[in-house]
Amino acid sequence: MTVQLENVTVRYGDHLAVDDLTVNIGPGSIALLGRNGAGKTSILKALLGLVRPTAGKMRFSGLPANATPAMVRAHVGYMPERDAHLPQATGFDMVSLLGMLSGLPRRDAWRRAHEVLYLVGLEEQRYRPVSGYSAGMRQKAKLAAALVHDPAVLFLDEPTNGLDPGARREMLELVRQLSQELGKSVVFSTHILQDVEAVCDSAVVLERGRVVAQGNIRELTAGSEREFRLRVEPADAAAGSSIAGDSRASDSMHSMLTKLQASWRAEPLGDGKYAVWLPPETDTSSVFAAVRAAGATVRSLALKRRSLEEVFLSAVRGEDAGK
Amino acid sequence: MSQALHYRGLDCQRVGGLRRLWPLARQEMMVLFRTKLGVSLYFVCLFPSLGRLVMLLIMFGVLDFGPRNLVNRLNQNLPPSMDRINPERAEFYFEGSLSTMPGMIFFLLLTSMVVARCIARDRATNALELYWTRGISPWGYVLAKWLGGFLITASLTVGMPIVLWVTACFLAEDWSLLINTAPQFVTGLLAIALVTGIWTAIGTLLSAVCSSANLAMVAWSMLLVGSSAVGLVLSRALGEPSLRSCMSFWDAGRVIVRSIAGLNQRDASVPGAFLMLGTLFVVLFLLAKKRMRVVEAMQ
Repeated sequence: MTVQLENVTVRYGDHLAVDDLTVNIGPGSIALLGRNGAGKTSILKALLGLVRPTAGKMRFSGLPANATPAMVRAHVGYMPERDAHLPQATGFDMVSLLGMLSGLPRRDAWRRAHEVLYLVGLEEQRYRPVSGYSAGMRQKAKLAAALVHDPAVLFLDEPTNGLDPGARREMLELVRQLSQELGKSVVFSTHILQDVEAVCDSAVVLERGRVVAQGNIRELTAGSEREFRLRVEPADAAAGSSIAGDSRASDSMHSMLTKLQASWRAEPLGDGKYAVWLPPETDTSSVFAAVRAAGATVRSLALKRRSLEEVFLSAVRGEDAGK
Repeated sequence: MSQALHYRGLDCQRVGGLRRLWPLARQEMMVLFRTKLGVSLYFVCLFPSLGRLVMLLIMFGVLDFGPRNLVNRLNQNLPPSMDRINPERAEFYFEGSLSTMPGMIFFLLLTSMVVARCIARDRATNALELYWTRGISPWGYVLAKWLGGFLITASLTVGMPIVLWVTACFLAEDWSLLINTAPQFVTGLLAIALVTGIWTAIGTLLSAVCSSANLAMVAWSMLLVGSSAVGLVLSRALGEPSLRSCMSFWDAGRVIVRSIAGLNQRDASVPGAFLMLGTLFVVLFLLAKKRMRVVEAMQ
């Protein structure tokens, strides 16, 4: 099941919510990342046919989503951001009714409601009114309602909102399993970066309705240069001359590293550690050679990945600077 | 370490169109019976009809409580203006549903809890977002809500007259009661069903317009009782009795039923009654149309 958005624009009156957005959503889990008001929810609503895009094309498994919102909704499970429940209904009533409204015959909706409530861990509370549920239980009930008609794609809008750490971890684990074990395509809209790192394979970073970065999370966090963390110590460690403790030795090491390779960038971090940036084509064995030539040995050399937070902030700041 | 998910796919034929609306209508119909208060309220609303049932039982001598063969004596002695207490006349069976006192009061009690709150309550709990991301449209949703409200209200306004009439037919000495009252009863019943449908449609649209369930209840009560009071006061002040049916929401419906069923009525303007209900319906429909846009509910 694939979802494609081509040059999609969504306006609410004068307010531009989504600006010329082009995104492909394939199998796996993808995060829509952005600050409040970045346009994440508007994209989900446009895909569900709740908001009509001002321009652009949306395709759902190759079919135009605008023309067939009912077909889209049959294959999509939507978990809204806001607290939403049916008044006076128990968890079972709510999930089974929403299943029937999705076209399930009554018996199937009942059976299915029991199954998904068990799946999300609400089997003991299913006959209690949802209005009496805790925040975590309500989020689970909404997830169960999104799953009841066995959709291929899940749109989860801020699913960890208002959850305590334990409930949040449970929710993220459940979403991860839905994506990785059951093969559901998950579109995860959030502004919580840790959640994305825990669950998603790829991310689309939005700012003011525009895509400012997108791609596989490993690729996004890898960056264009390769940043390494290097730790060195003198070749003759037994002699007691420690580069870590000797500032002159450290300076000489630093200048040696940069002299040896003009295209490198190296910054001392103290305690014998260096941040070393290598161009993509450079092999790490040259680092070992350079360190050896400087009269030291490599104790460790590890690739430093950018955190998603750094990716997000640099993308968003770049957009701010461009404005 | 996480446990494997116990999940199995769904393999069933999906139902479509109007069949999806029925579960929502049924849920709306049963909403009153989810709480003890609601169940009690429903039985309280049955009181006028139960009172009429007791009257029937007394009149037919099932309850030995007064002179024998009261039905025949009433039939011979009562003037046409008193048809509402004569079981040999169709009007007897409608009176519980159409009278201002107590009919309107119990109608108000029931509808303010069910019809007036139906959509406003969902709006307050953000349930609209859950419903409209399913396979039903906003107007399909309104239709289902109306149907649920109509069925529970009609169980009083239409159902109870049927119970009374069927009971009377079986208690009567012969089939003359059935033969004499059937044509007018059936026409009147259809008219009550029609007017109940219009009343509940107006209540449902009012609920769609209001932002909270309590506001919808207050607005509905004001519409029902307030328009009745205004109609009464203006008709007396201006010396124009027919004005009451043009001003009062309840009286307009009553006049339409009596007119269709061919029951006795004086000083009533049938076109005025239709105009009143029609205008109210159109105005609320236009307001609801704006409020029931998907974007509106999602904000």
